[in-house]
Amino acid sequence: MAGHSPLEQFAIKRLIPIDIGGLDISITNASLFMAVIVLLISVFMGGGMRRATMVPGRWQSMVEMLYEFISNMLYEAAGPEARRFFPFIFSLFMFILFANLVGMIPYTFTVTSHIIVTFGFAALVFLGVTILGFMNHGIGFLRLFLPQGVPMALAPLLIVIELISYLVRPLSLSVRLFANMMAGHTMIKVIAGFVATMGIFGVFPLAFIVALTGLEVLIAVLQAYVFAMLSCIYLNDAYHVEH
Amino acid sequence: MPQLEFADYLPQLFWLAVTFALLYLYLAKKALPRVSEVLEERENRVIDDLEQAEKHKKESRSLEETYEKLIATARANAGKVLAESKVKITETIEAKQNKSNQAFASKIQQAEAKIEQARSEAMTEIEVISADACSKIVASLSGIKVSKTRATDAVQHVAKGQD
Repeated sequence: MAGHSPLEQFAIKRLIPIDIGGLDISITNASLFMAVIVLLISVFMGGGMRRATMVPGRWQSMVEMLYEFISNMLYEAAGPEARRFFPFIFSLFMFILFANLVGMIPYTFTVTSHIIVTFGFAALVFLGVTILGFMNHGIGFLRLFLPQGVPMALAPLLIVIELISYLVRPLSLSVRLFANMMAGHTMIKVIAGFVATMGIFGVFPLAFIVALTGLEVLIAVLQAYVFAMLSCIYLNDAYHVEH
Repeated sequence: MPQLEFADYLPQLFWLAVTFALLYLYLAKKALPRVSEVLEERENRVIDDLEQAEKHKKESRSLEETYEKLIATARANAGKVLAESKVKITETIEAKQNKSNQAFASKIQQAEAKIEQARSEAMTEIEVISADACSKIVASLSGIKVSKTRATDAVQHVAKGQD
């Protein structure tokens, strides 16, 4: 039963193999769903505001509420200076949110269940924040690793701890999202296997799957929020070095 | 574990970069400015409407004040006119009453004079008739002719004595 392993759903399949100069940039099921996600977000954002009115309808309200939600989150976490990164944070949140939610539909592929995708986002945030930090504060950005008012004796230890916690950020950020997505989908798949093998008693794991699916939808939204929120908090460091 | 197939990393990263860049460009250049435009428009509209409402409120308050002032003036005027006309009416009534009282008094005097005259006339007539009757009675009883003058004297004498 190798084809029905709980991990089989994460397999990358090359739909249209493309090879340019020895670099493999084939269109896979993952890239297909990335395109679907972008398309869905565009339809959602464009359709909601296509006939925008003074008093918004339901669709327009959803778009506006998401806009204001992310806008407030960025403002509160990183301050008014980070305003110019609003489109980035919004794109990040929407991409991860739609990737997670689309992944909840049976027979779809969950883009965010791959560590390389979540690490790609996390690395982008990490590198962006680091470069921005040095651009804003120059070498003074290194003060981030030594909180003010700390006794000199503790400084070496503290710098090491702060440095490690800073460098581990892209890993923790990416693993958190990837592990949540992968664990949820694997668990649903494993329990779904019981439904088939337990015959009439399969209704119990089935009921459990229904409940679990509800929980997974919640996690899908929550993890998108957590990812965007942490990105905002990291962005705050690039502007406000003092703790 | 398919997530650790390093051969799959490049195509995923490549298409992630392409699709995310497209999404970012679309959202940053088109979708998000549109949303902020609509939100701003609404906010301006709300602020405008609130200002308008404040203006109308002030206007109505000043109108109310003017109205109240007008009412007060009108009330004062009405009181003045009322008092004035009361005085005037009382004067007119008194004048008319006096006039009619005088007219009545003169009429009563005239009537009294007439009555007096009629009474004295009747008195004289009664005397004449009495004298005539007297002389006739005396003539038929005793055959003595009594002159008119004497009869009249006798009647007058009796009338006086009986008074």
